[in-house]
Amino acid sequence: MSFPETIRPGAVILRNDQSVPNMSGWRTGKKPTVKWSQCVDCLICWSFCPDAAMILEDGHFVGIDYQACKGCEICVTSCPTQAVYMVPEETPVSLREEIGGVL
Amino acid sequence: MMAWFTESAEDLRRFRVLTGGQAVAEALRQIDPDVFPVYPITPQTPIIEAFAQIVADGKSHAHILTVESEHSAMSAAVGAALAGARTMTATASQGLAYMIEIVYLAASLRAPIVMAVGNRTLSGPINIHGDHSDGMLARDTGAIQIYVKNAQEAYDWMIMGTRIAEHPDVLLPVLMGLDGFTLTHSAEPVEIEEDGLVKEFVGSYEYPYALLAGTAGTYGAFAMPEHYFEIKRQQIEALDRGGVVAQRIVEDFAERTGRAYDLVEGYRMEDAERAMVIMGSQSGTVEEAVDSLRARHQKVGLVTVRMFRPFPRQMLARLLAPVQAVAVFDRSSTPGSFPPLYQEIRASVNGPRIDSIIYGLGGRDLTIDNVIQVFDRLGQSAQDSNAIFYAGSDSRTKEG
Repeated sequence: MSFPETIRPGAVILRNDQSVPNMSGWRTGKKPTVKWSQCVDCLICWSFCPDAAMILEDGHFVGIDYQACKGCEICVTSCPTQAVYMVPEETPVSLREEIGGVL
Repeated sequence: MMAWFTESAEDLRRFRVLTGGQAVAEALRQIDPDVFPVYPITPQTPIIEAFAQIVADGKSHAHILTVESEHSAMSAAVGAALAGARTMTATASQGLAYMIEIVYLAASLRAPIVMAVGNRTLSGPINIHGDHSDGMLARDTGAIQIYVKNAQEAYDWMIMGTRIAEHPDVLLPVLMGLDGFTLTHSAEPVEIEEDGLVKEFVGSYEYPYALLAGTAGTYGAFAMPEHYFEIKRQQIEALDRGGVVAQRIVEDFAERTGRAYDLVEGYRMEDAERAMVIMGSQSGTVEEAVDSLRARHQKVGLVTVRMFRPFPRQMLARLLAPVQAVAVFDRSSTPGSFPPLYQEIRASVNGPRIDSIIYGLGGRDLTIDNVIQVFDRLGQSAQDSNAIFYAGSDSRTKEG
């Protein structure tokens, strides 16, 4: 669901309306993704990400929240094993199997 | 142009001699809004005086809400409109200036409030007379803006404005400007429609998420950067749709009443080489000047802009592109740059030389001689003057 299509005239919010914030509006055509075979789960990217876009599950890095990611590439720069890299926005990204449904 | 002297005796009975203020009040009686929050200010006062009398006489069920300021009037209007009440108000000058903070909210909350503005200049020096400074201060509020030429148009556009504001594709405030004193206080014959025709034309008020209609929601919520831009964009696009909707509504109005309006009106523009562009009551003065120059075989014409927001760019481009030189008459100023109507015409029209004329500030008359002087000047050079010409102002009082 894309949030802008659900804004009612005057931004009125009715009882069952759900807001899905899209904070990724200023990514400029590229998004980060992870080469899992190279990731050592050090969480350096997680600690540097200014928008808390790195998703952890049970303390382990499992993927990137593209609704929050601004595409600043700090994760790419900070990754000691070059596991994080940028791909064109349209590229479908499959997440780690064990978290399948998330994003 | 009034056609009243050609009507039959039966038709003449529909004419009443009314000031612009009374004509607006007569339209209000027929539209019969639910809520009318208002604070008096010259030259709007005759509107609320006449309408308060109508309500006191039991001829309208409107609740006139007397508040302590225009800021409160517009705040009450926003609340009433969202609650599900057809809401209107009237103001002018400093009153509109004080109201403007909430006019922005009315537009962004999509509250279809129709307001009559008796256009008056802004202080200082304090002055109660007509110009468009107050309307131009409200230029970017997101309200639809109409400027009328006479009392008949003030009556007609209150009625059409109600339909435009409340159209589900629009849902925006409409600001209908009638020049202070020149229109608000001057009486002329006005053709009044049957009450039933007006009631049927405006229909019932149907705000889609009315607070009192069992669909209550959250109104005026805070919007972070991830939402604000889209909400604003919706509002901007709704205002653009207002032009298309208004076009359909003027056509419907013409079918029912015989009075046909253009959002931008061309007068003797067929083969015009030089043209004036103006808004509001002084359009009639320029019309006289055009007639007298046409009698001397000069190819001159006039374009009157009725709808200022949304600005009918394409209509103006079509009308003015074939012309060699255009003079744009502004009855307000943008100190430090060119005045508002000139900027709009510049942004819309390619081709002709375009001059900027400021006239009539603080109620100064624009005479036929002033206009002819501008036409003469417009014939002299093929180059843009790149300076503002002040029509009817005495340059001997310059500072220093």
